[in-house]
Amino acid sequence: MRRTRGAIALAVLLPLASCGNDPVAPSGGAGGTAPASAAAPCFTDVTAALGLDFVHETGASGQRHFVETNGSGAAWLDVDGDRRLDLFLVQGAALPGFTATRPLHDTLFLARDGRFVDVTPDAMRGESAHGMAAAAADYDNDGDSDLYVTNYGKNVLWRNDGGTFTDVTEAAGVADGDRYHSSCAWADFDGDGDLDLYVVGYVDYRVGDGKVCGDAARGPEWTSYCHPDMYQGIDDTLLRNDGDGTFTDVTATSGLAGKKGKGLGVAVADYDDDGDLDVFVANDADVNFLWRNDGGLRFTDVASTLGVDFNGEGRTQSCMGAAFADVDGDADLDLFTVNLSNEYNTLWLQDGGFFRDRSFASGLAAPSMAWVGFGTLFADFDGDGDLDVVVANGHVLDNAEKLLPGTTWRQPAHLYWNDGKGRFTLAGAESAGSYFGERHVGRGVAAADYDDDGDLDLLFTHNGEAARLLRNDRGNQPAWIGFELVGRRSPRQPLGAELLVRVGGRTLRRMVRSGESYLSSHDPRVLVGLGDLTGPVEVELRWPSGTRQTLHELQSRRYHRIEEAP
Amino acid sequence: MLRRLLLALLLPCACDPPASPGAPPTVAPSAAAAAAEALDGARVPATTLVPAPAAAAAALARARELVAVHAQADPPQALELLTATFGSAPSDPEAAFLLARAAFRAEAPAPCRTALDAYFAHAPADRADWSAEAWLLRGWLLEREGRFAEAPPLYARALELSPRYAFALFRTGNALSESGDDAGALPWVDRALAERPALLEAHFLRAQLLRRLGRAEEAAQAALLHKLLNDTQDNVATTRESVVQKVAALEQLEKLLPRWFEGRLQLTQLQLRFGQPELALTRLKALVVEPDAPRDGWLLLIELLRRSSNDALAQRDLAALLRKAKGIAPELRAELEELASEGFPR
Repeated sequence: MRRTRGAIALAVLLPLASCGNDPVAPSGGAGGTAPASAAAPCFTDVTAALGLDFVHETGASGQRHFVETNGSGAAWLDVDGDRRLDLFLVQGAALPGFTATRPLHDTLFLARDGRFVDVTPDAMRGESAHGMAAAAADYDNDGDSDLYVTNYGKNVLWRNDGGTFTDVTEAAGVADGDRYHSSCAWADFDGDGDLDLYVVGYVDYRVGDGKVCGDAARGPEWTSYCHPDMYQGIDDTLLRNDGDGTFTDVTATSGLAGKKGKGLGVAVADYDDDGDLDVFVANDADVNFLWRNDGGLRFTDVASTLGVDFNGEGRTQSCMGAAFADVDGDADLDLFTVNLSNEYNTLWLQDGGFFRDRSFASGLAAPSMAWVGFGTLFADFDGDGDLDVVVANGHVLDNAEKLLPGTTWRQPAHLYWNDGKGRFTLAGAESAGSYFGERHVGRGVAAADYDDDGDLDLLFTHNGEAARLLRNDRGNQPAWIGFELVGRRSPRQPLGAELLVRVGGRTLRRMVRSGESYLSSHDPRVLVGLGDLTGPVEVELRWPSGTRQTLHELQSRRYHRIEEAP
Repeated sequence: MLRRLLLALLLPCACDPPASPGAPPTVAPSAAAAAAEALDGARVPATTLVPAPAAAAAALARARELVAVHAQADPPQALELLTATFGSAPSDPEAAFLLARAAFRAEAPAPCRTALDAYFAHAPADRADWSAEAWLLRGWLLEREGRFAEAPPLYARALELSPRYAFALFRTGNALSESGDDAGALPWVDRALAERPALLEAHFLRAQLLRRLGRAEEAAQAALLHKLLNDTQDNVATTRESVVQKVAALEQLEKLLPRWFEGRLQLTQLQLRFGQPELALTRLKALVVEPDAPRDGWLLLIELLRRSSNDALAQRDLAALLRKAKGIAPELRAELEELASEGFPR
């Protein structure tokens, strides 16, 4: 059942041979891995062409309220069932000292007639809290994507009622109190066929708490946002989906209670291959959590046991975004966090059930030292069969130039090519696209094949700036295969499901993303670049319910809609 | 925030070997060149500039500041300054050494390799400490490339020059572990901790090694030590909770790592800060009589005794402590004995 190319793509299709000076060389190397620079894709900024007009507002007035600096995220979802991905963008809010000159609310854009159209007033009430994250998922298994939005303050659950959204927060019991939330992730943690919700708490902070950091005596321009060390961390929350539209807070019985992190990023995956979904939480200037799912909605923090609580130097880092992926192609899941400047971005490779910090050897550490990373995710952007990685960078200090000479508030995003063995090379703007030569206050990154052409496009959110949509123009590369999974015993949208794609003597491990990056959620489909791998494609599906399903002789260059076997 | 960011600059490198002036030079240039040839990492073209003596002296003085371990350190600036003044391959050994150190800390491996080559071509006979660190950097560069098995021989060169070099001991353990030899790594980490009881990364690695070796109880103890040490560091918070946490960690570490004098001094200073001079004094008196007690401990003790309203009693206390104390450097002992006999300056 091939998905048709979206109207958006047709309307703004630009010449595909617009990849700068990149030579198009035949791919080579073992296992069909091409040299990164040879098959480099080129991202083209299509924000304006597609009418995507969203400018994030921090609410900043110079008083430096802590909540201003962390940005907001975005979510890709098909709102109206037309099989095209729509886009939800989270907005900040006015804070004391700031006067808004325009309405500030979260914004829903529908893909319509080749453009993204703001339908917020018709489709949903414009939510005006200081927004943080958005996670899209079909929590009620009715076939459409709903939305959970975290805030500084109470969170909101939007039920999709056939293209319009109803705020069902109170009835569902998912507001999670008046707290400072950050990322969140949907997943079926108890294997009962519906999606539960993991909500990350950041710190115990109140706007107007009177804390002033930096050197106020030298003048207001020398003040700064306070460091998270100045605040106490708060608990994360686990909400069990009871299957009847309501949720129960099971934090107290889950093992999570009392672990006060300063969470910003979350990633969900079955890292230990025991058939249930585990949770990694990236904490800011505090030890990370790796919650092993022990069944029955009980979790144990094994971050220390497995070596991911600290980096390999035994130090905490200011972790923001996080992602699981099999970066070295050995079919187990590795882990990546992006961090503050002078704290390298950290890649832990899984090895014999433990994790080892291989950041420097992977090539991901040194180029990251000068930058502050937030959003990140792995995907095969050049379609060569291995997972590349993108990082949104932007400093936390809006006056970084003044306080830290040599540092900048706006920073370039990074794209790294994987050589197939887990060694990465930073791509320049000439091969990655001009956006990567620009400087922004990067925060979220959300990935989707919005134009259905077989490669992943990227939406970047920026703190206090316009969001930007980059189209991946690698569409002329030879082979890819996509999957849209529909659960039966598993949730209809089986977030966290895994696929082992076997082709040409290689096994590519991929999964339906749950969490990952920073404050953002992604295309629920799975896209697998095949590079020059040839031969029959076989896929083994590992559903969250435990169902194993194997499909043979799948055709490449198309999406496959696969229902879970009964 | 600012302080935290600046602190982060300090963390990666506190890698100076213990100074051992006068140690015999065991790194002949020819041997070093052979070792360098074995390393095929990228290098920047070797250029050598010979600045005027005054310019050279000024650049070296500034560079020493910029690569020192303190909040104003700025390795990238040091790298730029030294390269502009001496070229990428200085003939001046100190310039080459500082350039290698700056380049390493600035995450610039190619300039670091070139500077190390230059250093070993002119390695001074009387700076075994520099040479030891240079060998350490060479090995560490290989580790950062993922060439873990090749690093230990280079650390061995560092340890020939400076046998108690904790970072070389630790990195040997790390490289062995990353090469798959966890059992072989453990003794090296233990030796590193014997030299530097509070070496954070060594405690962390030790916990991981023990876990992987199936020694769960010992691993838990090592992880506890690491966590406590972490709680005492790298936190700029002034909130009550964070200070309480830090004090609690220091108190536990006083028992668990009694040879970590710096931690005991930190605890003493916190007690002074929170208006508990009697407790601080008791703590200091216990500390200074231990073998190899730090000079800073004695200095703080003198300061507290000096504030005493009863000079005679303070002098008697000091004299008693001096009788019990072992291993005080002769010069310091002479100064202290003078204070004990003649009283404290006001």
